[in-house]
Amino acid sequence: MIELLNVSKTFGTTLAVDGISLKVEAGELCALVGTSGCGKSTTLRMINRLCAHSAGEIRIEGQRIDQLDPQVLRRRIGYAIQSTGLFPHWTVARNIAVVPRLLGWPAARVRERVEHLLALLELPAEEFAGKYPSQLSGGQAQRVGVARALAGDPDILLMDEPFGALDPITRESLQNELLRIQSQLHKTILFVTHDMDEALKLANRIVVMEKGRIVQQGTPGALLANPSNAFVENLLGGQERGLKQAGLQQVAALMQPLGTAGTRVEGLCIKACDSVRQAISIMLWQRCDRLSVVDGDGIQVGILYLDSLVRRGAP
Amino acid sequence: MKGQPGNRVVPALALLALASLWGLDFASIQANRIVPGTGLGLVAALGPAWALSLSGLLLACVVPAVASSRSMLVWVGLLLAQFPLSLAWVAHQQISAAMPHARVGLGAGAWSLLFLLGLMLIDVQQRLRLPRIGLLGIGLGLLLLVFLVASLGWLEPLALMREYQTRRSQFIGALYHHLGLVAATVSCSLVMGAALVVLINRFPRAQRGVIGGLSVIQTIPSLALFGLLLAPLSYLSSQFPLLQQLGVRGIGWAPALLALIAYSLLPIVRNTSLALHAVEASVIDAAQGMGMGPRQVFLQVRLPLAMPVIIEGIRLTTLQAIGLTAVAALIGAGGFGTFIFQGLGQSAMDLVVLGALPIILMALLADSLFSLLADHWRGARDHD
Amino acid sequence: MKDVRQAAWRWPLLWLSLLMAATVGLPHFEAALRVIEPGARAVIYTQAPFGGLLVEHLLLVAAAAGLSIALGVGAAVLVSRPWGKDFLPLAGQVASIGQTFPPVAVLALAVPALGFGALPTLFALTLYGVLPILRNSLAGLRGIDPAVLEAARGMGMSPVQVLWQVELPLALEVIIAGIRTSVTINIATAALGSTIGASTLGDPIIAGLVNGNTAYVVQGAVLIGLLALTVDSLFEWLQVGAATPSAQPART
Repeated sequence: MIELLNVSKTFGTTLAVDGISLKVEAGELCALVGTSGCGKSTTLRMINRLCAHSAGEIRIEGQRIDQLDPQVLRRRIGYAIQSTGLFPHWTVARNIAVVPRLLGWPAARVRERVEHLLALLELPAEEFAGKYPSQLSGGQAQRVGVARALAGDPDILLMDEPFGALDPITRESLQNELLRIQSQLHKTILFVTHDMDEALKLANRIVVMEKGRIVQQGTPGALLANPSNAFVENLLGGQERGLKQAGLQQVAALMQPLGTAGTRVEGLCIKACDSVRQAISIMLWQRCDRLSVVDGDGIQVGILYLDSLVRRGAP
Repeated sequence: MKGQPGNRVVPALALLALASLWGLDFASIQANRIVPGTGLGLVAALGPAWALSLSGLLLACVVPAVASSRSMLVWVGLLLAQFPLSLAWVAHQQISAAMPHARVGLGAGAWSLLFLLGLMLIDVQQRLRLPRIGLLGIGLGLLLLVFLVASLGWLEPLALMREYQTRRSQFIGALYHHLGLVAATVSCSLVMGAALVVLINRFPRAQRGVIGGLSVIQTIPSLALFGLLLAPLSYLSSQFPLLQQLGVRGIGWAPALLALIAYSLLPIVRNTSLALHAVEASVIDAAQGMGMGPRQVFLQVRLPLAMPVIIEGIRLTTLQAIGLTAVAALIGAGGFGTFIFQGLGQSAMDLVVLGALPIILMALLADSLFSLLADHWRGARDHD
Repeated sequence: MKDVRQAAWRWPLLWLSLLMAATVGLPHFEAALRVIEPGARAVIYTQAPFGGLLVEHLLLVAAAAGLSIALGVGAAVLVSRPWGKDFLPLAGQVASIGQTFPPVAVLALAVPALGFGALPTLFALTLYGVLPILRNSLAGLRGIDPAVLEAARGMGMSPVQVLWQVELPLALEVIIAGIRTSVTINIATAALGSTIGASTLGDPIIAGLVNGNTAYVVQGAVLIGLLALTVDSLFEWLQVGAATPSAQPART
């Protein structure tokens, strides 16, 4: 896990990061959120020593990073950036193989690892292994970037706005990818983004930064429920908070369950695993105040009432 | 300039200059043209006072505070200005009126100093972001100073001057020949190049052939091309007396001009046709949409936008022509190349320098002028 | 794309065979050459065998090329490192301005410094040859997408590994174009080396010009021309072969 103790960074006379203290537990996806220039990217780059910290201590798994060889450190950490930085003169397979080869893995193991990762990121090997980065779409390139970051099987992943340059549809699909992969691999991920919705969707914990300082940290729910100041409130979308909070809640938690076994529902319904926000949207569109809730097979398991959502005292 | 890291280039260059000044000969004295010269160290040539003040100026440039400041321009200017004065001083010190044939040559130390000062000037210009015209101005100023000092007669005993004096009319003749050949080359190739570009426009399939053919010519070394033209031209000249009357022979200006034009066509044709085609389609579209006829679109939109690249092509051509004309001296075309090859033949190095220096100066001048022209055109376009 | 690659090797082969044929066969064309120069006693240049001159010419150009590549690429690498950045603007300007000097002037000025013969020729060829290579190497190295370099460092490549495995391969195409320019100019300038005492394919031409023997001149000209065309087409083939399908992504 990653620990930052009172870390600062000065560029000439500018204080980019001002005494921040942060702890990212193993297996956690922690999002660093803030507007441009708040120091979130700098913080990220201090962790793999692409940028040397001016004051404070940074530890990874208890070891101080300034006592480690920078190249050895970086080979232990996965690094994915917004513009991917894929090597244009190497194929996709060779790109992914970079860190394993730097670590000296035998060729057979490298090959196996590349194939495994291509499959994990849903890029069929026969089609993609031999392609060059210039032949990939934005989404495909970013998938390769993530695969490349995972190649050396690092425990820690640093991601700097990896999905920022993609169109909304591709971005959503890649966010879902990341959630799926994280549920399988449980890496420690530090994820920088300026998009609060992305942070709310992906993170176990959110750290809000402004002007080089940490303004608030906590779970998405905690942040939404109690923003510590107007800045955080604004970032959370001000008046959109209600909908965002609803986006974090599952229909199953707020529905009225059926007492008896249900039957297949035809027509208007919502899945139990979908979010309450989607349910509200459907109800507004269809001008109804209740929806049948179904499970994965289409069998009804309950009813969701609009009343119950706005009643005080609801979870 | 506050907080800027120190400039390491100028101190490094200044230290190198100091080392070469003190380590190498500054000048050499020859009793006459044929006898080899004896070298003079810095102090021997200039006397201790002048040597120390010159070193002092250079030492000041090593100081970081000075090296990074705007005043560096003044220091370099001073150092450059003292150059012709130092030479005059050496001449005055070492040669008296009683030695009419003796001459002073520049030593390795002096040449290195000049070279390193040039590098310092370039670095200062880059660092202070001076406009290019500043460099040109300083260069011309230095030339002017040299002319001034020379006209006062102070540079008489310089070997270069002596060679020049004995060949003054030849020098002027060479200048006219050289400039004339270059001017003729550039103007003829502009006309022919324009014609070829029109041709390529009309028949797009001809482009590969034309550019390919011109590229083949470009690959052939100039000496070879001059040589290959000798035979046919001398044959033609012997068959047609009219040509002989015009001065067209196997050697002389005729093969030189033909070959020069052949070499000049590629940069002009390639740059022009590329530039005209590279004008953004959206701009042409807008012009046509506003109701401009084809000729107006060409003259008012396409051509002006393509001008910077076209000027670049002309610049390349001119520089190439200046150099190739020097080689053409071997086939009797005149120009400054004659001094170079004469000097090489007689082992008279100062004659070689007398030929090479004007060529280099012409090239630098042409380069500056064309770059200025291109910048001006680009600037005017951007500011409209 | 494949067609271009397949066709590209035919030209060097053609020019090379013509060159070889000329080197060996020119002396047999006495009758034809006599037409050009009916009055001379000797029509075939015999002071030195053409093969020998060809080899000497190539050696000079190759030696200069080797030195120029080492110096040019080396200097470009040094000034593009963080600790050498101070010298970058100067290097770029020198490379540009130096190329305005006509090669013949540089060759001539080498004599006062180093005397006559092959040494000043080599010196002048190297000096002049460094400039296009330096310029292109600088352009190639600076044209690499910074994100790629950031990713390379971030993944744990050492600075030497980044240079060798990422920077140089990506800049290679541009650097080769620079080497091509340098060698092409040097083939021509080496011919001029005959005027300062080096032994090259320019010898017959100079001898012919001095003695008024056009046949000599034609022989030398044909040989140099064929040499230049051979080397240039070889480079063309090299460049076509080196062009990978990985076009560099445009810097945003």
